[in-house]
Amino acid sequence: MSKVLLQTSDDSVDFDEDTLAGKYLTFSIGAESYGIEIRHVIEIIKLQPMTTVPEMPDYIQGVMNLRGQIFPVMDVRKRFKKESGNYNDRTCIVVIDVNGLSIGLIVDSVSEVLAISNEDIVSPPDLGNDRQRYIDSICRANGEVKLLVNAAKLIADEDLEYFQ
Amino acid sequence: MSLSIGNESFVDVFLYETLQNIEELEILILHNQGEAAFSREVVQQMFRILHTIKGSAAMMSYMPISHTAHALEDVFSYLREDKNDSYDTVALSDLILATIDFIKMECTKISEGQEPDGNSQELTDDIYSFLETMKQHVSDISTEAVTSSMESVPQGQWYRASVRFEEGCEMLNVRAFALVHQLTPLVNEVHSLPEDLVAEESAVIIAKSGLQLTIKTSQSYDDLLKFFESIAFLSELDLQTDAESETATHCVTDDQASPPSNHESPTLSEPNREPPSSSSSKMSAPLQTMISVSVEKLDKLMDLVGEMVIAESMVTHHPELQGIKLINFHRDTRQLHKITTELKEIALSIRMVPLTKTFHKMHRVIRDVAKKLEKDVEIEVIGDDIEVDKNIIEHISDPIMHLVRNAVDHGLESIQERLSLGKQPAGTVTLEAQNSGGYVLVSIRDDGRGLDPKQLIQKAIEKGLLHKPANEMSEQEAFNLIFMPGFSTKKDVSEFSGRGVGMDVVAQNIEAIGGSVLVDSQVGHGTSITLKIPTTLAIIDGMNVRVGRAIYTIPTTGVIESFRPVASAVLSDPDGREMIMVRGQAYSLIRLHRRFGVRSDGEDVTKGIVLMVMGEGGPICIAADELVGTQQVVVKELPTYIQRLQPTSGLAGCTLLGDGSISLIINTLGLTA
Repeated sequence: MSKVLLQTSDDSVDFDEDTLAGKYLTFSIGAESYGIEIRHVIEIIKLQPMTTVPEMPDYIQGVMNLRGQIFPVMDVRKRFKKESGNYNDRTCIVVIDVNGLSIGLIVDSVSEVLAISNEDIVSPPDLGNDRQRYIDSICRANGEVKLLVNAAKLIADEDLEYFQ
Repeated sequence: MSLSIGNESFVDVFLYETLQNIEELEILILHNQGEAAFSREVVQQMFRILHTIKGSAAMMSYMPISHTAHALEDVFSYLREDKNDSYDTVALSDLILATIDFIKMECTKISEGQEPDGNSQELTDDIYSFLETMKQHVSDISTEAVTSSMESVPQGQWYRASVRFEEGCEMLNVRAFALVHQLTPLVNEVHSLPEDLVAEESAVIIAKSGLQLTIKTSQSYDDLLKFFESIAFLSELDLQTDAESETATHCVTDDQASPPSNHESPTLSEPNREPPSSSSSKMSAPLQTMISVSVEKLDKLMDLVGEMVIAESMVTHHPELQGIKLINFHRDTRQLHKITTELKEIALSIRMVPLTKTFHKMHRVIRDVAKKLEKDVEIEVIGDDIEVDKNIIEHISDPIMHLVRNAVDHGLESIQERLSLGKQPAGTVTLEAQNSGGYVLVSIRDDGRGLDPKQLIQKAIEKGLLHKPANEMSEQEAFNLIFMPGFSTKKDVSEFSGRGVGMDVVAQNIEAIGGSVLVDSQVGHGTSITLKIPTTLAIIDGMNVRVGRAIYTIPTTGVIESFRPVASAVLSDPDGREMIMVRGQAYSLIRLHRRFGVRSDGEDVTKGIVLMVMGEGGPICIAADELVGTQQVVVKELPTYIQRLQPTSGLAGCTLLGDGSISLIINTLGLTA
């Protein structure tokens, strides 16, 4: 079922490239506000019961069943090496699809969909900070600074070396 | 060999293909009957169809069908060669339609289970006399034209094609032969390198440097390309026009020049035979009973059915219904359950394929190996109509091939040896399949020299593979030594077997699909190797165990026994590795909660359950908190992302439980890794 859903979201990328381009879903983790390109987002769901998978990095919370399809779930807090807070009713899962790889992201809360023009986007300063690996750029919108997440890097497996 | 009872699946396929071909032929005729002459393309197409019908009918031993198709094929072969337009298309169309009716009638007989006993003599005679008059006619008009058309090469272009098959593709020479065979009716000449495609060595050459073809044809480049693209398992194709290739070296197949006059035709003639065209009107056209469906669609169907089974149990066991009296509701849900169960069975059965094809392939392998080794082998095939899941077939084909080669190469003695032992000079290799519950038992038996346990043990000691005192080895344990990596009983490595990689790979492949391998042998009387294979991969029997709050599923195939241990049976060595004593044997004990790092009820093994399962090197014991129950589960792959991160192989997949939660399926072979 969700495969069909995936398909339609892909199609809409083709058809509505203009309407999707430059749009970001913003969510918050702790005090910071982040944005992720809307074309990656499949759906936003409430926290689901999950099954822990052994021998996974700590940021992989487990796998969940979404209408018969099985998705891995990543706790973005842990991925950003922040302390994992308690889940509450604002906590939700953003299901994204990056190049055919689907994954659910646990975030503190989702805010809104923002159109961000290119002029407002700047490169992040090179802090040599580990956390910045996932941040492509920074932008200012509605008087607030948003960190724009690179979805592909978020689910890249540079941690594989650690396991090998 | 006439129609035997066992090959019903072949008959179905033959009927399906032939009826489709005939239909195509009929449409072609009906579209073109008004024309003064058939166009080159139409002739080409008809020739191809007739060629196919002839071939498949001959394969099924329906000789009358094959003969009539052959006769017509000759006509078209002549028309294809010869550019003369002065023939009677109406008369020819009549002949073809008569043939079509004849074949249809025979097909109806076959589909009704009768012997296809129609006589094609008159029809074939008619066709050949038509061909003769056609030739006569032409030679009357201009003898020169004929000779020139015979000698001068039909206008055509030389092509060079270099073809490679997909890696891991088996029996390359046979595939190549089939390719050339299919190509022959389309083109004027085909030459292939290696020349002798039937020879086993060609497979090696093709695997190394691909198949080189020199083709002469009047077909366009694009048509030729299209043909090659339709061939299965092609990985590379280099098709080039070749202007000067005159020096074709070897001619493999060129049957178009065969004179039509001396064709074998059935000698019996029944005077009371009705003309086929008139009798056919009484027969109803045989119904098409098969359609081809893409595997992808079937997989999708299987997925959806699996989900529906889960959704059904989610609805009927919905927590909000707990405690409410619902007598009628439960009656209706039972009905729903019955339907979904039936649907699941049907969906599974659609994917089932008989073992016939696999066994036939082995037939060929045995024959080739026997010929090479100069052994006389009789092959017995039993139960090839037994069906298993399509995925399973793909997984067992290679292991079976390996086992039959072993049987002929290692198992059977040479003819002289057999004679001196007072055995029949011809050895027997038996391939047998039988159903047993949710499993299929495939056994490969030979009546050769058998396995000598003492020799096996000796060998294992030499190779340093024996980890147990030799005098404690049971016969069965000795036989199982052949599955150890690096164990090869034959000293000289032959072309077919004896490289010491093989039996362990066979065992691994079979275990990977949840099956097992059993060896039984008697010195001097032969060896029997039995593969116990689940009929389907998609749905397995699983035992659900609970560890803390998590549920894990263990495939029942791997479970030997389950028991509640006593505290004194559990020992640990100085390294902290735990062992458990069962009937005087020590097995390593793996506690699932430690292995998987999850919380459990407690550390006390005696309060939990211990399952003895097949591990990689033999039985191992795993401890869990509770045995929840057994159920059939739909196996799903772990998400790609998880698979990429998964460093070890303790998990085989996952499945959805009745309440919609996910249970992980344990790969018992990977637990010790």
